[in-house]
Amino acid sequence: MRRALVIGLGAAGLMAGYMLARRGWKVTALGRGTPASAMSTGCLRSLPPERGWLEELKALFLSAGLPMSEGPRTGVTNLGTRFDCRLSPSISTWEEGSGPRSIAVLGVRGHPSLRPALAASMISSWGPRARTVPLDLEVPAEASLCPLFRDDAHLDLLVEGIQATSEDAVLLPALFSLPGIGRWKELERRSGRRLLEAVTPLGVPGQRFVEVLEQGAKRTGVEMWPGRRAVSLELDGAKVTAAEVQGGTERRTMEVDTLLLATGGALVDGVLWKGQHLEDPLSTFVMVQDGAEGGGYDHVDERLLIEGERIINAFGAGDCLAYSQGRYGDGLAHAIASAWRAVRAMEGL
Amino acid sequence: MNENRCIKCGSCLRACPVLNDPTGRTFPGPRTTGVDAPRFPERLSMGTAALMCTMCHACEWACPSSLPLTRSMLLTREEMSKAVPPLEGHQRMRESVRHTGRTVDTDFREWREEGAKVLYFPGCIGLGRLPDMVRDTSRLLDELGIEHDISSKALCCGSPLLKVGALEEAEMLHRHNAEVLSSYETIITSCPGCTYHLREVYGVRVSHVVELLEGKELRSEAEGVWALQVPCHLKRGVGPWAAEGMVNALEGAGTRLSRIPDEDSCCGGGGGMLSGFPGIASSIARSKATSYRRAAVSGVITACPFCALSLRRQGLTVLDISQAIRPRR
Ligand SMILES: Cc1cc2nc3c(=O)[nH]c(=O)nc-3n(C[C@H](O)[C@H](O)[C@H](O)COP(=O)(O)OP(=O)(O)OC[C@H]3O[C@@H](n4cnc5c(N)ncnc54)[C@H](O)[C@@H]3O)c2cc1C
Ligand code: SF4
Ligand code: SF4
Repeated sequence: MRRALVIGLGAAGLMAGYMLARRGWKVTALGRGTPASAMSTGCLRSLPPERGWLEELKALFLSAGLPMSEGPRTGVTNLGTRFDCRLSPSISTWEEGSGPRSIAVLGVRGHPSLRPALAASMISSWGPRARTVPLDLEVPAEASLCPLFRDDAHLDLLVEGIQATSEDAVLLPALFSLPGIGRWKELERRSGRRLLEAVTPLGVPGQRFVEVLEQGAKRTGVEMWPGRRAVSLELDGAKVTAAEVQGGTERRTMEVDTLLLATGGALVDGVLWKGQHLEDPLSTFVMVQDGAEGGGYDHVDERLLIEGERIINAFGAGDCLAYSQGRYGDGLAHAIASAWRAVRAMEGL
Repeated sequence: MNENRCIKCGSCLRACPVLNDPTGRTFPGPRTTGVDAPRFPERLSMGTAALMCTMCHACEWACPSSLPLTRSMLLTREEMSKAVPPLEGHQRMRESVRHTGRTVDTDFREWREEGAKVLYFPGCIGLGRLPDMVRDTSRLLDELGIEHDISSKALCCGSPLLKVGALEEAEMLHRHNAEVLSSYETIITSCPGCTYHLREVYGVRVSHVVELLEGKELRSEAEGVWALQVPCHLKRGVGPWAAEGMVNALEGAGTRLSRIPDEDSCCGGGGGMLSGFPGIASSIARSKATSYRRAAVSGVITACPFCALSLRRQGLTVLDISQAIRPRR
C-alpha cells in the first residue's frame, strides 16, 4: 500500500488526506494550532476552471448535514456588508434574484458576533430594508455565544424573537457548531420563517468547514495526529526519508515514503518571514519570494524543489505554495484545488 | 516562529472551557492574562479574576502562533501574587504545604521504602483523596513486574504552587524532592500534572502510568460500556501520544468504549480551581457529567487524580486506568 505523510491540518491537508485515503493510500496527517481555514468564513469566493474536486467536496458537506450551494450566491456578513461568493453553506446565502427585500437583524446587543444596529444600517446602505431586533443577554465580548444556545431555554428565546418579526428574512449570528447544526433546522421549523446565518470570519463557520473535512478524513481511515509539529526533515539525495515530529514533551521520528506539505502561509508559521525575506521553516525546499507571484514554496505542478532539482517524493498544496493570480478571498478554493492537483500528481508517480 | 506575535484571532478564547461556562464569564481570558498582562502591567489590576483558569492548555493548543500562553499566565500569576492577597482556598493549600509538604494531608501509611530503582510518585491528590487509586496502581506495577518504592519523603512536586504564584515555595519543594528522587533511576506517576512538572521543570526520567502500558498484553477489568475523560495535562501537557496510548491500552485490553465528542475537554479541576473557585470548577464538571449521563455509560475511565476527583464529586463512577485493566497472564 502506498503511504503518505501529510503535514498541516487545514483545508489543503485534510482534503488531500481524504482524497488520498479514498484512492487507497495509507495516510498519516499531522498538524498543530488553529489553521487559517478555521478562521475563514467557510465560503469559497471563486471557483477555478478546473473543478474535478467540486462534487467530492459537496458530497462531504451534504453527508455532514451542512449542504453547500453553488452558483453566484449572496449573503450578509456579520458587519452587514454584502458578501458574494461561488460556494457556501446554503444556510448563509441566497441565489441571485431570490434575495429578501427586507431583513430583521437578530443579534445580541453589545456582542461582536453580530452587532444588530451596525449591521442593520450597513444592510440598508446597499440593498434590503433592515431593522434591528436586539436580544439582551449577558455575554461578554470575549466569550462565544455557541455554548449558550445549546440549552432549550435560549433556543425558545430565539424562536420568540424570530416570530415577532415580519421581514422577509431574519439574519442571525453563527450560533451552531457542526455537532449542533441540527438546531438550525429546528429553529427554521419552529419559527416557520426564512433564516439566514451571517457570513462570519473568526468563528463557527470556519471551524465547521474544517470539522467537515476532518470527519471525512477520519471516516476514510486517515490517521490523524493533531497537536504535533514537524520540526525537521531528513533527506537522502533528492528523497525525503523521515520527519521529526514534536508533540507536547515528546519527539518522534516518522519514516516518510511520500510527503505532502500543506502547512499554510506566514500567518500560521507555514512559511516564515525573516525581515523582508521568506524562509522555509523546515530548511529544505526552494522558496519563491513575494513579488508578482505570491510567495511560498516553489513548485512544478505541485512538486517541491530542492536547489533547482526536482524532488521526487515531496509535494505541496494550499497557502504554503507560491501561486500567482491569487485574489483576496480565493484561499480556500486554491487550497482545495491545489490539494486535488497534488493528489493527481502523487497518483501519477 | 510567531512566538511574540498575537494575531488577535480569538482562537484561544473560543477554546477556553472557563469562558465557555456560564459561571466563568468574568474571567478576562487567556489573551488578556497571557498576552496583554505581561506587556501592559496595568492589566494586572484585573484582580483575582485572572486566576479563573484551569491551566488546561486548550488555548495554547488552539493558538496558531504557538504562543506559550500557559507559561505566560503562570508568570502573570506570580506577579499578581506580590500585589493581590491570595484566595482563601489557595491560602489553605499553601498552609497545608507548609505543614505537611503536600497540598492535602494524607492518611496513607502503606509506604514502601526498600531501595528499589523505581519510585512510584502518586501525587498529593492521589495520596490524600484517592488511596484506592494508589493501591491499585501499585498492584498494577507489581503485576507488570516493576519493583518500586512509594516514598513518604517525596513531597508535593510543586506544580500546584506555581499555579497560585508561590514560586519560592515551589523551589523549596524542588530542592527537597531533587534529593529524594536522586536515589531512583525512574519515576512513575499517576498524575499527568506531576509528570509534566517533573519532566519539564526537574528534568528527571519520568513516565506516566499510561506510558508504561504501550505494547503490553492487557485484559479489561471494566464491565459494561465506558466513556473516557482524557486529561488535559496528559493530552496537551505530556503530549498527544500519551493520550492516544491511554485509548490504545484500553482498546487493546478489550474495554468497550463509547467515545463522546468532548471527552478531551477540561473537567474544571486543574490550575488551583478546585480550591480557588470551587463554584466554577463544579459547574464545568457538572456540564461534563451531563454529557456522560446522556451517553448512558457505566462510568468514566481517566488517568488523572484531579479528573477522577472532580467527576466523582458529580456522582459518576470513575475509574483510574490502573483500575480498568490488568496484565494478561
Ligand atoms: C480571517 C480570515 C478569513 C478568511 N476568509 C476566507 C474566505 O472567506 N474565503 C476563502 O476562500 N479564504 C479565506 N481566507 C483564506 C483561507 O482561510 C486560507 O487561504 C486557506 O484556509 C489556507 O488553507 P491551507 O490548508 O493552505 O492552510 P491552513 O488552513 O493555514 O493550514 C495549515 C496548518 O498547518 C499547520 N502547520 C504549519 N507548519 C506546520 C508544521 N511544521 N508542522 C505541523 N503543522 C504545521 C498550521 O499551523 C496550520 O494549522 C481567510 C483567512 C483568514 C485568516
Ligand atoms: S489554560 Fe484552559 S482555562 Fe486557562 S485560559 Fe487557557 S483554555 Fe482557558
Ligand atoms: S489564539 Fe494566539 S494568536 Fe490568536 S488571539 Fe489567542 S493568543 Fe493571540
